[in-house]
Amino acid sequence: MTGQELTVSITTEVEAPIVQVQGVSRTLGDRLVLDDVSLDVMRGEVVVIIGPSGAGKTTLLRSLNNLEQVDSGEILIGGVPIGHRDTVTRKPVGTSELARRRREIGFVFQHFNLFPHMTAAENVWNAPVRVLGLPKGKARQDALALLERVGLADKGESRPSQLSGGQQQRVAIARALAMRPKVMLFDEPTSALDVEMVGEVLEVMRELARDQMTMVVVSHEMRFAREVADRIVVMDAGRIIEDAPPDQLFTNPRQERTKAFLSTIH
Amino acid sequence: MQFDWPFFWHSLFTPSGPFLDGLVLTIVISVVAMALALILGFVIALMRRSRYRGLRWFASIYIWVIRGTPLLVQLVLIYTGLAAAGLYQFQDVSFLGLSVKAAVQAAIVALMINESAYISEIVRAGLDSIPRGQFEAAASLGMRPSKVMRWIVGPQALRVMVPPLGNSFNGLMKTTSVLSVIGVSELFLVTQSISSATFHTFEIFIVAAIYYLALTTVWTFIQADIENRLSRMLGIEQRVRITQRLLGARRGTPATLQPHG
Repeated sequence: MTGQELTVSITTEVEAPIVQVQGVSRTLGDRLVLDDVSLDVMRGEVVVIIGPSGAGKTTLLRSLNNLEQVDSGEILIGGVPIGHRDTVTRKPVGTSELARRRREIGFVFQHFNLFPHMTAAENVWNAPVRVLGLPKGKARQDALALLERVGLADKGESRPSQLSGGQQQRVAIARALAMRPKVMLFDEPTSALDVEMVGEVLEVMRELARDQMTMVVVSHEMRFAREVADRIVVMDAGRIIEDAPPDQLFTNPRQERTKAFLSTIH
Repeated sequence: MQFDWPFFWHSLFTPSGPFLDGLVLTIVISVVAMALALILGFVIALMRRSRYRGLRWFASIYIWVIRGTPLLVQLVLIYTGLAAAGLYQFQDVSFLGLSVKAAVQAAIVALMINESAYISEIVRAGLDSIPRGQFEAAASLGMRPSKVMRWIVGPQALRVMVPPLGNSFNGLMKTTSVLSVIGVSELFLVTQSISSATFHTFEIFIVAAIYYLALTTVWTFIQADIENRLSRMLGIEQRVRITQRLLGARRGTPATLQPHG
């Protein structure tokens, strides 16, 4: 673990990473889904996780806001362990406290998971009102502004069922942003979309990156990764096998398995 | 065949005071027992989903026992059995200026317990019908479980739950007739006493049947209205046609809220 100590000692001088994954493992049945994974993400950084299916990308991402629990290791968001009351006793965090910690983390799902019984605008302002206690009027205004930002200013009154997949996913992004998260997590945000709708969602994400949002993205969109990512993390069989800036990774991958994976994509 | 038409029309359109009292008692017991059963059934359903194994076991055994034994047996156990064993004796009480007979209290308790077991299964099915992604999306926005239930899962589950809950209530209103065995003077018992006093058994029981039918029919309208309101609230335009509901026509294609992935 000398590499780990080195990173920590360097970064503490500047600023602590906003996401810290420290030696995290997770077994499902007899399969090691996450195998001693460590990863730091700095504020404003965009990290794209790629790798073959079953590599543990989604499990890692879902662990970051405790939608999945890890068996060992620790995940800290803004220095606070997401799943444990503290790092010493490692008692599981209570439901209310977990809910509070999750406010800081936006999550965008592969299948959008919009609330079908609400309009697009309500999807966006619902949590700020119910969770943060914002006045409805203010939250509605913010929601409309956010919908405008994702290019859906005129869709506030539409139901999710009346929107296309791409539009639904953009509402989902606006919904996550409404909680003013410190980190945004994206779980294959475009893989459930028809090809012609992928671009509009990636464009919104690109803009978020430009606005210095900290993002961790599980994606198969290599062009997006190449353009937007500060770092690309390659996972295989539950491990991080490579972690490098896109230029370096695409032109000169160090690992054979990375090469093999990249060749399957294009 | 002898059918006393004048007696029949008289009993149907100008029913006696005791008959009306029985009708009112049937309605009151049904509504109160249903309301309490809804609360208890919801609690039992939540217990079944609890993190704690003890609560899950308790709920499962409760449902198993209650659904596996006849209401009539439960009723006699609660009213007569408990008293005979010296465990609990229902007493007449005054409640908001109304006197509630011991047998009526026992009846409400028994119906509530019996119905809650079935309702908890309806609630469970309703909650199970909501995709996991809805829970996860709500949780990822920082909602506590109670808020997830109140704002996200509850409203959607209600749509699935209301039709079977309505059926339950329909059944409950008719089931009140067994309360006659512990001497609750609801519609059935008063009908029976009119019958034995007048010997117009056929006529008076047809009148009773018509009143039961009227009760359940009125309820059918109320239920359709609730379902339509709920659909509007959830943004689904699908009206329940009353003829469909009354005559038990095949349900049309169910309106899906939205394909979830």
